[in-house]
Amino acid sequence: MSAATEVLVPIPVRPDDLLRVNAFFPFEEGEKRLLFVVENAAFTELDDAGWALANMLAGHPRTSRKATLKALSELHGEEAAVATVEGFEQLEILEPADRPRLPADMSSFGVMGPMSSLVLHVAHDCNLRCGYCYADFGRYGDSFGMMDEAMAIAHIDKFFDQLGDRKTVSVTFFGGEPLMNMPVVYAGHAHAKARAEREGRKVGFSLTTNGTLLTQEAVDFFIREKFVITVSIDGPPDINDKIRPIEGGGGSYEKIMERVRTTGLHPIARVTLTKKSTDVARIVRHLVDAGFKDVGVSPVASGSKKFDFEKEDLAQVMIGMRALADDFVAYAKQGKVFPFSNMRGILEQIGAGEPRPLPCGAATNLAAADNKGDVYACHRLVGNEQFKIGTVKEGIDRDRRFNLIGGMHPRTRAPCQSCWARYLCGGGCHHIAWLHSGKGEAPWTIADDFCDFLRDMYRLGLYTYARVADEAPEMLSRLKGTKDACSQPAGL
Amino acid sequence: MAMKPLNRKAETLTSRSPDDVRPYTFGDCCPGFLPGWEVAANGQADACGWQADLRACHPCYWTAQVPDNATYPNWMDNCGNVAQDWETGLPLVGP
Repeated sequence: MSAATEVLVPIPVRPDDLLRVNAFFPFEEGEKRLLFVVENAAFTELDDAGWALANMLAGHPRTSRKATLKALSELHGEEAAVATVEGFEQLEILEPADRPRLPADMSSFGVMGPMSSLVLHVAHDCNLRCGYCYADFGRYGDSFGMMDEAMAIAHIDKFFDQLGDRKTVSVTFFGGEPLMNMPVVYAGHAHAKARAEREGRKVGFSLTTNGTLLTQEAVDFFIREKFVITVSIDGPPDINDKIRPIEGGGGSYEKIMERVRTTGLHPIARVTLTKKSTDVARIVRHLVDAGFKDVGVSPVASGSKKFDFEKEDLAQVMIGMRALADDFVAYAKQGKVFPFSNMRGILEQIGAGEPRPLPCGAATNLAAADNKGDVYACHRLVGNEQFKIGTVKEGIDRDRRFNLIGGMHPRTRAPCQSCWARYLCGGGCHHIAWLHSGKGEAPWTIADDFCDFLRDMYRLGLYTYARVADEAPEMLSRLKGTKDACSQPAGL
Repeated sequence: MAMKPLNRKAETLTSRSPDDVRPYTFGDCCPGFLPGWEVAANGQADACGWQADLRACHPCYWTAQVPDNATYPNWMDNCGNVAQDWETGLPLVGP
């Protein structure tokens, strides 16, 4: 044995000193210094030493543990330095440089189980003529038409056939305007309910409508069968009526509200924000005051310059979002949850701290079925061959489903790879990404301006969460909601 | 506390002990999977196989072949202190 080997004997394997710096996002807002860990979604508030360390590490892919401790000790004393470095190690921001990197959460498509939600497009037609409609007034790029009862039942049967041991499922009736085809809603509901009972599953029903065709009979049925009803409405009459006209002219606001007020329905409001309706604070507050039990907004995705947002429109929307975040905190201080689902959804997601590699449940939990017997990744993408994942005859095509979703992981998309919010946003709405990418080939990506807007939204969400944690901490337990990606509208 | 955890993930992570976070790494991954260190170039069992194990994990976790000391007794003579100089001091040797 040579002399040199004797030197070897008691030494540790690794040069333990070299640490890798994993991606993190530190930011200051108000009085707070906050830190979000990109890949594991941990979220903390920093003290002075923590903030100093965050600044020290920013932009460095690796660091020496000893040198870091020394530099931090000089600023904040040894005790604080050790606690802070150990804290960063616990948060997995600092890791031994040679520790293998595990891929960030791939669970959503590592295990792709049966779908849990079926969206049935019972009507490819609508009695409104909203210029921004992504569904092309219900046609989805094809012709007007209704789903017949046999097709609805065939879709439901195929969906149930593929459920395996999944116990809780949901069926959504969608359009176009589904109330134009109520007989098929009744038949589909009865069939799904009976099958679920027979197989020992729990099935929930929902329906999205423009609200103008609601009858007392239909509403009584929805209430009896515990349907979750979402009504599309874009705000107060001066905003709504300009962009949601009835076919042949005239606004839809009064028609909708008259039915919401008189039928006993307690629906959710779903708002499309457009270039012509950027005052989101006024819109949401109006609808909350009007008695909707929840209000959610989604940016328009029409592919038309007349409606789609440009940078300055998004800045306007952000101003409103900040005001609504203040409302959220004010409600929380009174022990109430402000019924604005976008903000609530973000806060629940932050609270759970689960990184999300996908924006929504499209093609993983959810599929949309049309009147021609085809099945697509989501209701927005019906009629789009690139997002077709099955048929009523063959069921879900596993390869198509896997390839579609695998290609949308933030890890595989260039703009996401350097974004701190990638596992909060999951890469953004597939439909919006497809539009922003000129309807070309995969992988589709969101336009930069819109990504900036999404990052601002998540940053606002993080700050709002920290404010609630500070000012109304007991409310956080009420926000510990679902981890289900489906619960969050992908486009916000 | 250097930082205040705000969400569930941060609570979980920061409640771990330093031992969980920085486990003593010797023997935590490689030795059970090492392919063939035991046999030296002369076909005999390597008297010092375990020393090869020591460095086998570095720096990429996946095993890197290092020569056995019986066949190449001087191969690390240039390496003054393996803990510090192993990257520069250990030469490549061919079979």
